[in-house]
Amino acid sequence: MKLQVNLIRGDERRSASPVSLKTVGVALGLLLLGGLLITVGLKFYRIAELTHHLEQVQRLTSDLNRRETAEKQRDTLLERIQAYESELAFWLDSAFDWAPLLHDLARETPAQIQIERLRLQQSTLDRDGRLRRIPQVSLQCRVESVTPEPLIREFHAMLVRKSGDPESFPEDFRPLPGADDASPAHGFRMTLRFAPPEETP
Amino acid sequence: MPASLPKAFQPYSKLFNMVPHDVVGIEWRSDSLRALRLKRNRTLHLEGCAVLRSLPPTGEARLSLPPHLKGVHAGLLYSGEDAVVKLLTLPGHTVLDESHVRDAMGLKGDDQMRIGFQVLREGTRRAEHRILAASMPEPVAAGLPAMLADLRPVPYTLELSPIALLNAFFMTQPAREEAITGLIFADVDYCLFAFFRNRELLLIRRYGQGSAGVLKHISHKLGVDAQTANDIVRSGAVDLSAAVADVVTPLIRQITLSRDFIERHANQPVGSMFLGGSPTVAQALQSALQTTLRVDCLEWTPFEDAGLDLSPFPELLEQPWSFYAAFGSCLGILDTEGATA
Repeated sequence: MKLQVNLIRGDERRSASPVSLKTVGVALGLLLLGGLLITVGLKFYRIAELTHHLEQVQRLTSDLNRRETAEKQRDTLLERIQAYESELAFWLDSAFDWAPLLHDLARETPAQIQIERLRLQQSTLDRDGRLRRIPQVSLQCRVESVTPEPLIREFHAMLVRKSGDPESFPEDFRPLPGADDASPAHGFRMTLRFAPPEETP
Repeated sequence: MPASLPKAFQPYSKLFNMVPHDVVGIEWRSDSLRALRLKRNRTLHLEGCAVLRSLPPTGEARLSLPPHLKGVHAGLLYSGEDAVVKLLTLPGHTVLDESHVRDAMGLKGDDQMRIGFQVLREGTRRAEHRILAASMPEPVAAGLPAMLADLRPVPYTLELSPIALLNAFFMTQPAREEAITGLIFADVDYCLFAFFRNRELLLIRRYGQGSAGVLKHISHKLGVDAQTANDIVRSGAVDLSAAVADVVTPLIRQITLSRDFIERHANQPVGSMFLGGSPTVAQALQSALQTTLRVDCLEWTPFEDAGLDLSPFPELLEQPWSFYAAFGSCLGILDTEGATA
């Protein structure tokens, strides 16, 4: 216990330290505040950096998605083109060369046999998922002979050799109107199928 | 406040001079300034003292202390006539704030007086507050701290000399539980007497005449100037008891009345009286008190009681009593465990 009535006011006192506690406190406070501001600033900078990076990634993703869509469209188009190419190649590869047949017909058809109608056609056949073109020739002929059968057999044999189709036969053999015994004339038809080119060994 | 520092921070308090350990007490007196520097490490050390040229306590002049007196903290003391010390007793339900104490001191609405107080005993519903209150003119209170403009010392306390004197007595005398103790101190401008019981202040009175008044009365009565009167008193060649008695008789009367009042009030006799201060008055008081009060007066020597060696300081050996107030102020500042209002 002491007897002391201190009449001095707080603002009349000074710090006795060269470095006052108030100064140290203020400095520490400022340091803390500065550190806090720097930390917050760095965080905001990091957030801005990440946001910018995210925007870049989003732009890249969007670009990639767009390019993927375009690629898919191109793939689809390519597949279609490849399908067309394949089909075209098929058609090209399966094209039948009628020229030797027509040449042989022109050279080896007996004089008594007149080809009235010649129809060259190719039908498609789907076998095991693969399309094949079956060349087929249909003939409508007129034969003027007293003995037409040997001529027709010889003609048929010649065509069978060409086509390799032993199952075809002359059909619809009939006397033609206006013919008589002096000048007999008969008509017949015949259809021959050729082996598809790709199956040709 | 430094006293309320947590223990964990106390080792660092010296680094920032938060807990005073090197103090200089400076007392503004009418004739001079008395400065005394005291340090406390493990024990008290007297670092120096000086009688300085008087400066008006208005804050206009700057006080520059000699290097050996530049302590860290300063206790400023004022002993002017316009300074008032009162021991107040207030009802226990009174809120102890400045306005109530100002009212009790009779200074209601007087902004030109700065007041302060220390609660000596907290009252309850049944017991009264006991308050030691002090007031001094605001221009002086504002001016004294402003006079210490150097880096060191820095103003730490602003007190009235009578209270610092009582504190010196408080902190150098052991508690006496058996009886009431009295203190009479004769200063240059005033005399002070107080009564204590077991470290409780019971009464304090300030008498407006001191050794200066006695010398003035002697010079007037003998028809000599003040310096001659002083020399006469010092030499002891002339019996001046009659002249001194004219001045001290009213004081003796007041002391007697106060002693009787205290003894009746406390229902206990005054066991011992301590006397200190200017020998001019103290010697006259001593013989008068022994006759009137029939009590042996003991000499109050706080420096010796505190175990301080005065031999290196001739100013102290010559007039030790004139530094008691500064010493009391230093003790109060260095006592960081004590309570401060």
